[in-house]
Amino acid sequence: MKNKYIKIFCVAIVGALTLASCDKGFEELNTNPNALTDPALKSMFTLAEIYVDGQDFSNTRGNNIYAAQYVQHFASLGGGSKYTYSSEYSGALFGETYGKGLNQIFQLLSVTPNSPENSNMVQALRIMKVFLFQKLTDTYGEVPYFEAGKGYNGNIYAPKYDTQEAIYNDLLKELDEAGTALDANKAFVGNADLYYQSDVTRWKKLANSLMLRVAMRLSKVNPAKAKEYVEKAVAKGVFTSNDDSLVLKHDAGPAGVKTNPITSSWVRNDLNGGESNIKFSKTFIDLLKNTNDPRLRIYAKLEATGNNNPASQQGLPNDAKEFPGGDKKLFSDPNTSTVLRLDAPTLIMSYAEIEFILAEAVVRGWNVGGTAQKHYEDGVKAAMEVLTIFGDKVPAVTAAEYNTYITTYPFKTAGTDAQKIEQIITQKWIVLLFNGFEAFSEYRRTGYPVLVPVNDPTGETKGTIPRRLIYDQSELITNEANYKAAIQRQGLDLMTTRIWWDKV
Amino acid sequence: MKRILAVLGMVLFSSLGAVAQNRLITGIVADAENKGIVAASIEVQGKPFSAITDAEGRFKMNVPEGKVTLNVTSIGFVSKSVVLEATENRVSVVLKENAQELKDVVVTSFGVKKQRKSLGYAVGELKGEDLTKNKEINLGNALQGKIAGVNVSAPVTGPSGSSRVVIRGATSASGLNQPLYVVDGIPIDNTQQGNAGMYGGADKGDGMSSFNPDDIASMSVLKGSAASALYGYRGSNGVILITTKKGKSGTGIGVDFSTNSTFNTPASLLNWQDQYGAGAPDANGVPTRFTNLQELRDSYYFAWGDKYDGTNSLAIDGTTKPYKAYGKDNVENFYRTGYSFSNTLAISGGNETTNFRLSFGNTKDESILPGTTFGRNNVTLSLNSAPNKKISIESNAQYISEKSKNRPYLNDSPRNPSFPTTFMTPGTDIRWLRNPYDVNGGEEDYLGANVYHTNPYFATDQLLNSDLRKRFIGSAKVTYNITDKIYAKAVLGIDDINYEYTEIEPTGINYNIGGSIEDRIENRSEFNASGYLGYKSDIAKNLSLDAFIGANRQDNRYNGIKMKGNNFIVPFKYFYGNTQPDKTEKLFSEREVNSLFYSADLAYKDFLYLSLTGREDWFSTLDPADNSIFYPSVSTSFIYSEVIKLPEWMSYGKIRAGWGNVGGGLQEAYALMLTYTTPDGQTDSQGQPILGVNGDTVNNKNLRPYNVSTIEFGFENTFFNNRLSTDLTFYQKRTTNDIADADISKASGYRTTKINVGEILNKGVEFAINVKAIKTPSFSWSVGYNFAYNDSEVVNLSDKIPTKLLDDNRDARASVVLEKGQPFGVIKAYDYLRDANGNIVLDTNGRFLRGNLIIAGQGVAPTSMGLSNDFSYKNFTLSVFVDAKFGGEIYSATNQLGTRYGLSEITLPGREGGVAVSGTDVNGNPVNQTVSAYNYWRSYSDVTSNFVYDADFVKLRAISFSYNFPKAYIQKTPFQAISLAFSAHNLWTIYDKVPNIDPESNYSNSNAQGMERASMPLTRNYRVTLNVKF
Repeated sequence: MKNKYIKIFCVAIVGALTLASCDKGFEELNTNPNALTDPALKSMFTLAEIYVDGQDFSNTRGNNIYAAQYVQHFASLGGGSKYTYSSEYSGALFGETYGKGLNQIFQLLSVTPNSPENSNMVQALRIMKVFLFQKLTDTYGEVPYFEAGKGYNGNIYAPKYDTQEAIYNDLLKELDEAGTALDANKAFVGNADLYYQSDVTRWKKLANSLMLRVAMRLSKVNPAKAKEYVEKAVAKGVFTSNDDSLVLKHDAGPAGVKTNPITSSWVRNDLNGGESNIKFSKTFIDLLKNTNDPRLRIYAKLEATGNNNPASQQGLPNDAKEFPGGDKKLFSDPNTSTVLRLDAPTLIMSYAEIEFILAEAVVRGWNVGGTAQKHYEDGVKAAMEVLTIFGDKVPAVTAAEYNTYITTYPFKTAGTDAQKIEQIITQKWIVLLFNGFEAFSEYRRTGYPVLVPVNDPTGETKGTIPRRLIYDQSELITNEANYKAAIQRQGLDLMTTRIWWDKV
Repeated sequence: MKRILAVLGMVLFSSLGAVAQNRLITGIVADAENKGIVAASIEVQGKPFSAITDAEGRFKMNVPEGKVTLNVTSIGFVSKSVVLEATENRVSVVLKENAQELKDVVVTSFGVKKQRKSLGYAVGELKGEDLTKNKEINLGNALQGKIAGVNVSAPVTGPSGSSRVVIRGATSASGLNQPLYVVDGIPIDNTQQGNAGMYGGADKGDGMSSFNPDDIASMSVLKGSAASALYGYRGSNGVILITTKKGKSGTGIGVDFSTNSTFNTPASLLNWQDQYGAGAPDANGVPTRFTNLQELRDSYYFAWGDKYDGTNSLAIDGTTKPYKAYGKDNVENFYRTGYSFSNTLAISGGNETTNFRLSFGNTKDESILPGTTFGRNNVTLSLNSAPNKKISIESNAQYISEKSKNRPYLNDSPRNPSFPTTFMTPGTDIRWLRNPYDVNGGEEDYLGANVYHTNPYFATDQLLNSDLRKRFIGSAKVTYNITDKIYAKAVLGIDDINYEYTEIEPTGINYNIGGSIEDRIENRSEFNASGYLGYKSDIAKNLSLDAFIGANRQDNRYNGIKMKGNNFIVPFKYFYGNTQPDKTEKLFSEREVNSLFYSADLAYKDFLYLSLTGREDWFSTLDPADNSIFYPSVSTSFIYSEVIKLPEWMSYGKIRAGWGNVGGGLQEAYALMLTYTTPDGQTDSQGQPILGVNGDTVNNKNLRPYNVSTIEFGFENTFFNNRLSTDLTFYQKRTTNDIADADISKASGYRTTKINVGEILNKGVEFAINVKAIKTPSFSWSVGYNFAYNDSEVVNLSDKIPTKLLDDNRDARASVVLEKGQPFGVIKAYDYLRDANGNIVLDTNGRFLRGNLIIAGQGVAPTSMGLSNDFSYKNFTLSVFVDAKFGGEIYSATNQLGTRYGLSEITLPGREGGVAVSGTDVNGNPVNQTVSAYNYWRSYSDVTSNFVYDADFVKLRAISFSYNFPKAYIQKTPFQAISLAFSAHNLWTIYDKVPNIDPESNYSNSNAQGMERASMPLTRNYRVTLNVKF
């Protein structure tokens, strides 16, 4: 009996001691069985492409609630239509762009071996980076650029803000270099490229078309540089048809990265939600209705009744504090059969937009070939035709409809330059529906379309349309010195402060 | 090996002491219940002969011939001298228990009982009766104000919520700063299941809510590093050792039954104005009531209308009613009287070798918030046996099931019923919203366009969340005495928790019409196995050694699944299968820590003690190249009253000193390198696989647990024949290599990183005094007072980051941050805009402007104290307990919004005729004008530092009155004892300075202490308790 007890205890103690005396098996235990430690490059590239379009978080807040309501694509009873400030909404694009898209791109670049077979992927990533950075800097002004995205690779936790001028110079340089370095004879990523299925020629056009967009933004602050790069881009070759348009397809579910980031929350929450839903702006509906624009039946619908008859469409005035008539059902929603589907594709950059930029360049007297009228007409036609990407539930715009439209509202060849630019940008504003960030930038650059600002006491701008969004306020704490230096150069962190290329 | 040799040497040496004696006697030393006393010492008076009793109290010794006097002593007993005649060779000695000394045996690390006088560090103690006198459902809260240096703050959530216990100030910027809880020697899980942060949320309770206070025999608080050093990397925040009740040997079977009922009443402190109704200034700035229903509902909180005049006006329910204040008692009208009921039935008993205690506990609670309930069932078994003098076995098992429904949402408005209840204008009676449903069964739109304001009746009527926790805690300890002096011990323990949680956004809730459900099923377990080899004996004359070496293996495993679904396919049917599945997430982690440790206590005579400990921990989660850390401690105690002749009035004097080094903040599993995962749990898009960077934390491979070293000095004295006792402690606790869980600029691509750079210093003093003021056979009065002051300083956070945000207020206009050079957790809020000379600048319309963020206070009070008075007269006892905190502040968003919305009484001045202001504008031009009350008070509310209040308070925390039925009354009944007690809790706030809210209304149990927003009202509790013994 006694011996047996002794034995049990000796075993217990010796057992515990030997177990504790080493760290055997620790490394294996500490390897996460539910995560990968080595990346799959192509799969990361695919996700990077998705992230370039922004996620639901920034699109719902920064785009749908703010930018797209500032430019009066949409309207609601509160928030963006009245220029109120919410730190969360205002900062959404900042945190998301750095944390998702840019971080994915920077991390992928850091693990991609520098070899010829990876070259095209690297160039594509550089182009995608420009998309994200331009959206960021156009929205906020100065942002961290050269030191950004180095939290893991470089341990830079408080990156310096760079002037918008320096950023723009580098964006143009990156596009120029990447566009040139893309090589159809080198390998790419196959079908992992959701944009163009690894068609390098179209990627080259994308680089140059984006250069066109970036360059034109400088028309107000540095017309010479704008001209130089617009002409350069055209010389290198830009989009020539809707086949070149950058369209990202989406899946209907499950919620997350696969669904359309603009429509995700809209369909799930807002469309049927309370009284706060976002409706088409009266500005947008009236313009299309008054011109019998054939696109209206594709864009808009009265969701409650399913009525997409253009004549029945009604937009909500951006200054409305309640639904006129008290019934929200009377106001148009984006058409849930076409544009407001969870799997509706997003039009990241359209051929129409390029034609409008070229039309404007001609008006400005820059050497891009063609006439302003031709570019304008090609743009309008492309903007109507591209809507076929939203499916066939609603009949597409016919050639006859286009002809009627363009003959009824022809390009004002006899008008002043300002009138011509107003006409061009107004058309661009239509095709930029759902890309409120870009429309907001173009409004600030050109002042078009002419919008009546809302003057509401809850607003922060004293009745003027905002000129930027306020930075993510976490920067005040996590990156105080650099944030303050940027404010020092740029002006107070207010919605009314004009950014570098937006100088009066 | 060296140590073992040394031990063997000692054994040999001590056995040599017993040679060459000439008269052998045998004897037994027993207690009053005739149970042998182990390790009693027998000495022959005036002669160098001595012996020690064995486990059964027997001894053998040689003594001189002739009549001798034996002096028999044992810890916890009154010493006795026995005369042994020349012819007697057998002796039997019965020692009387020394109540005073027994009480002074305290439980220390690993459950080792030690004499209080031998300790070189402070240990706080709480007895079972202190816990049951004012029973708290969460055991952590029972510590409030009772022990100097133990700071308890519970979020205002009702009884099922968590507790926040911080000992001697927070040690880490990133850790939870809560102590390790050890029950019967087994470390248990105290995970905070959820917390209300910036965007609200529910406090989902913690591990301490599992325990039944009726099962607890005592709690022992190891405050400093010297006391907790044997817990190594887990000791940084102190350790609370909980001992459960055991059966008693040789007492037969006894039954204890305890039942109590508690009524909890809401006590609103809101005192809004009742003169001006819902409305806003019109285009000309004239205050005007809302005449449009939409507007009235959208701005249900906006009390900037004209003065109540009793004329017919539109009301929020769409009817017309006289325009006057109806809502003064909205909070009381909305909340209800809560009720809780708990019972414990315990059966205990034992024979000479074995004892047991089996108890069943049951608690039911209905919160003051309608629809919120909590229930708990406990089954506890303790079984102990010592079949012979060699072996003893202790085993404990507890099974607990806890069920909670609709834990309240706090802070932000969605689903927080307190939000609209708090901010409803006085013109609305909250009960008009009582039918919260529209024709479709969804939420009726009483609260207008902002869908994130939920009708409180909807929020409480719908099932919003429920959880069920089933938990098993088991331990077994076997001790084997290899010789009289050497023993071996093995301990196994497990805490296994199964947790199910469901959170529902019901069909028709305005901000998510389709509804959603999240189901979480988790298993969390910790397993510990340890072995000890100990030695306990005199090693030389007057010098004794009590030492052990041991090893522990700790395994933690967490495994679970989280499923989310949206849009209930069949509305109002709330289960996952009825949704469009959204996201499924696997939750998993595993880690292991292995440890070796030793402890050696040396005692010289009865007055000088030295204790040394050491522990080496190996961690699976650290870089294999460097994965172990050593934690030592040393402490000493000197009873100078045994050596120096003290004046008559001074009975006892001790000084002590201790130093120890412990750790905290163990690296999480898998945090050494960057990993990649599928985003949102989705594996492909358009048929192409997708993969992203996992997480938004920059992983730091070199991260180590932080280090805490405490040095402390203490003075214990008793005076006037032990009628007055004092205990004074000074300590300094320094945290180095603190893990800065640093928020980094989002532009870095990540949100946070962890770095070992922080340094935090806590210095403090603790003082306790106990006085037995009056002690007569029929009447006694004793007073206990404890005081603690802790001065904290964030010495360094990081070389790159001077400030760390702990949490923002919802409006991002005030926050709790850590800032270099400041106390831990300061409240930052906006000051007025000021010119270079510090004068307040106005805008051209005479309004205040928001200036810089300034430090406006600290969230944790540095000074805390408790005062208890216990009176007993014959069979009556009365206890009165007062506690207080000083030096802390709280940011009250209730007051800030109340001012902004025109609800606060301070907004009354200037309603008629405006407020005259003068000053200068931004350009230095003079501004002299009259500003409307609306503009004045709204701009005043932008200056959020105006709403950081001094949170000092003195509260009559508890008062209890009990009566023990005299034996004579119950002689003829089957009862052995009956007692009846009445108690009340939170009866009276004797002193406080915060308007409209309770100064303890903090909503978070995290490090972000000191923020309040639309909190639940204070509750007052009234309880009746009946204890019966069969």
